[in-house]
Amino acid sequence: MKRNRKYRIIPRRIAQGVAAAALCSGAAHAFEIPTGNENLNVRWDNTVKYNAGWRIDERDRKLGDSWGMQGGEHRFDQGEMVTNRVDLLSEFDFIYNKNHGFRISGAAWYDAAYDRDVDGNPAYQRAGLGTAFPRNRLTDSVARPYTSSGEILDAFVFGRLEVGGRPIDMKAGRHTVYWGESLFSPIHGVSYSQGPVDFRKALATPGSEAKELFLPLNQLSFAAQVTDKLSIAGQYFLEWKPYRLAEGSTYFNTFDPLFQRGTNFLGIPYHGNLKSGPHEIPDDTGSWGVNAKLATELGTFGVYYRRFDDKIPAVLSTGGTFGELHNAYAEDVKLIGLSMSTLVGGTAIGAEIVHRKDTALNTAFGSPEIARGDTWHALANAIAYIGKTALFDSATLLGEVTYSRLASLDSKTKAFYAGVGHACADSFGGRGGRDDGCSTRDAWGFGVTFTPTWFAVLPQTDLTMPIHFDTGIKGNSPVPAGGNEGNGSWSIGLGFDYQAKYKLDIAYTDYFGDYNKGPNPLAFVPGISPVVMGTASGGMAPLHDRGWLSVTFKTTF
Amino acid sequence: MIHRTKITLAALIVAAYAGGAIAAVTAEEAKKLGTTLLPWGAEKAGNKEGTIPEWTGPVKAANYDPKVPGARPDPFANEKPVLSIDGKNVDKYADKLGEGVKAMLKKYPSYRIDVYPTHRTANYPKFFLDNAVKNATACKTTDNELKIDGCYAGTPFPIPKTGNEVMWNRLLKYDNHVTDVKGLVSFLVDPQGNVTIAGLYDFTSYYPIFDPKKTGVIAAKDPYEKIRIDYWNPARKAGEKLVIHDNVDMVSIGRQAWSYLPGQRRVKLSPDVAYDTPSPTGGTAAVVDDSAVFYGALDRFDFKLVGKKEMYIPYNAYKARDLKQCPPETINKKLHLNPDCVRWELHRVWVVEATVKPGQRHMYPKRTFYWDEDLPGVGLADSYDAAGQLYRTVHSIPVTFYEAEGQGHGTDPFVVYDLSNGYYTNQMYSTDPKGWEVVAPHPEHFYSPEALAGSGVR
Repeated sequence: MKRNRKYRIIPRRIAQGVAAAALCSGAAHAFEIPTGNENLNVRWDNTVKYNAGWRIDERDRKLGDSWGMQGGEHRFDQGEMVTNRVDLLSEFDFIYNKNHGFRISGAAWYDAAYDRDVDGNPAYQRAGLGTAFPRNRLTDSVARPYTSSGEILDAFVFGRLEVGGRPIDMKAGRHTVYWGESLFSPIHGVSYSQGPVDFRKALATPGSEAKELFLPLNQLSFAAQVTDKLSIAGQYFLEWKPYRLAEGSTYFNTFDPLFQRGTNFLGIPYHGNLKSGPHEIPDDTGSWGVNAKLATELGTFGVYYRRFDDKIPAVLSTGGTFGELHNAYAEDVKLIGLSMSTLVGGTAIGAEIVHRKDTALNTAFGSPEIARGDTWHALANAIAYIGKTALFDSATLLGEVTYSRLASLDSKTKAFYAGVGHACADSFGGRGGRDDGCSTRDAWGFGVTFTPTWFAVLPQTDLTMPIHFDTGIKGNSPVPAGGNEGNGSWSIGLGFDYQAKYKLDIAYTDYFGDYNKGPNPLAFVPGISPVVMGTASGGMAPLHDRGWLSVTFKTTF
Repeated sequence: MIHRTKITLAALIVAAYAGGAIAAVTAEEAKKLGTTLLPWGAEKAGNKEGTIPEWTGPVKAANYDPKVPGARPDPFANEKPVLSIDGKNVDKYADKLGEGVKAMLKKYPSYRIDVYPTHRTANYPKFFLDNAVKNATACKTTDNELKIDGCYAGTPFPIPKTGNEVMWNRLLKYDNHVTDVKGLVSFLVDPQGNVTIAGLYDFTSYYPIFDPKKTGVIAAKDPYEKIRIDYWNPARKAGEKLVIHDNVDMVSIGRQAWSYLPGQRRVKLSPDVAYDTPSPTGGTAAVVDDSAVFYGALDRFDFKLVGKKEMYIPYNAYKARDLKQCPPETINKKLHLNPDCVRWELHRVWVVEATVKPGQRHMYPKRTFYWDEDLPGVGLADSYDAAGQLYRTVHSIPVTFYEAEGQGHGTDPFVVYDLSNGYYTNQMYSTDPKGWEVVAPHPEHFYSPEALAGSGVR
């Protein structure tokens, strides 16, 4: 028997059997710390993940010679390790009588590939032009998530009330609740801004499902089964946090000064999130939502209403003067949504329609205010399973199509809308078009993941080959992070699953999108290209030279 | 001889009604129920040789402890095998063995089946039997035999005339209204004998149609079976939950399955829990509808009733489910379950051949089912691959709940052997000494997908 590494307090009678089961298997998953109470269920799981990654793509000089992108581009050369990281996730559940108790989870990490030094473009450094970071050192708030630290994730209590034989489940504390049917998109569904979304992870692992990306927030939530067919749920937030975006001078960032205070853009100070003033960050309280779901023979239908403070920043400048730069978030956005899910011939179909009122639109960099307006969003997805064929033992196919459309512009802020025909410039300061990343009236996008599986290719080892592709099909979405035409990412990998316990994944991931060249205002610096990226057609274009190979080993004990 | 006559009769009737709706049997034939046939349709008498006795009902073990009602000691613990079959004498008994069992005996020198005296222990409640008798003349199949009409909560077709009718008897087999079991394990055993715990979970089954308070005809929209699974292990599955609703109308409603996945606190439809998608806890050796020998809808196959014959099948397998006598390290041997743990008996079985319908697909284009005449969810299945090669074989590991009259049976645990790669999966093995407990109903919302989402902790 292997050394027991799980500490799980479960009813004695189960545990005995499991311990017995473990004896022969060499795959001990659990042992008992007797509680003497059958109704008490305590579980502690620890997941260790090691991730190594190497930059495969060569640096694109037109990106690396852009002063604002040098930190991200020059930190790692082709062939260098871009991550060499250990993550620990620890989860502790204490459950009494099935429906009452608490849960705490936390994460810790250490990445040996990152240090605090910002490696700028050598030519700019020789010229004494520095980087976005003072003394070329990462600020604390940027360094913390990339070097070594830890954080509490879930921390909540839960309980159940029975009213007239109907359960009302309640949770209080830091936890995640997100609604709707979305598979990949954390933007176009009813779950938009329902929790901070980890875009760092989304970039590092294309095809991460939305469920892996939402981070917990302190809140009160409930779910109640009103009748056998009708259920309702609600949440009230007690905490606000922004989305996690790739920070300056890290591998997946596209603009060094963003998104934490204390940096500068060619001398213009960047203040990040503000604690006071008209653009101070939203209050912790005030965001809430309710939904109702009805199960019918045709499928399950949901209706949603939410009011919330946005969690994706726009980068503004006081008075539009570029005397400084800071983040701002749209407050009191209203969202109405409908969802449905059903089975069609063995395929699970999900769909949503969402209307956002007074939401943040794509806003021109350095505008005095956020451009706001009303938008429509829709998504439809499918989960299909394919049985054994000559090529594989089984396969899953996930696909999702998204659509977004501008309904109306707020008259007071429409001057700042980064749309075609509005405040969106091309590389030379002229009127920007779709290939400059300017928002269009509407936009389509899609993502697909195909994962064939082969069983027992090696002793006790199953093999998967996840293949992911996503792209904006047509148009640039009117909302931030909503997708851009011709911008996307893809990955292909191999996953080895040993004894349903140890997982080794190898993946190659790349990003694509076109950009327009423009003049480099710092072309006078010796050794610097006079032509650099001017405007990008979308968010993935500046990452097109970051293709990388990753190897991940993960186990839970 | 009697068997051959039956086959011919069945074949004639199949031919006469092929493709159309099948009427119930005549009132005259139905009179056999309660005379020569038992109410659920099995032959009352034993066989000529005396190796199959008359039905006598459940036998309670002397050491049964009512304080642990779900743990059922072996009432036949003192019996000795009447014969043993292994690779050397397999041919002598070939006519009473399934193809999969024969192949295993020939391939694995360590494999053996020990045959014990037959005990016909079926233990049905009265309402089920009364309904079975009513069904003989009332219950019909419609829609190419994929729907049923006018049926009561008893054996739907006590005198089956077609393959689909026998399969319906399997789908609507009698199980207790609600049964709970904790700590079920699915083991996956590789050809070297390494054992992986592919799943550890709490399980509850609920048969709304067998609510003793319900009377009247089963409606097409009724769910006949709901199950809920709460996973504990492997650690990466901990917190996952699964509910499956199977509806009598398998054509327009069919199976509905929902998964609660940790981290998102919402449920998603799970269309993968059906047909030939890999078993979530043993995909190397089994598909979903291998569970409990056959678990799912009938619409992908043509089922041909071949007839009835005498076969050796695992039966009264108390020992194989006894944690003290056959704990995991004892029962899970290399290549097969420990022969010392599995009790085989001679029983009359219905033989049904399934062939995938034109235009449909299944990993097993051809399968043969052998269903016990007393317990229509108990038996064997042999599955063939697209090349016609014997591929996998499923054995159920059943017991009778003997503690009270009409207490039913536990027929769900099963083992699937993959003859192509030497793996096998031993599923629904209870590691809880409290065993399979017949319990009072849970509230309806216990099986509701949205309630799963609301109560999810992870």
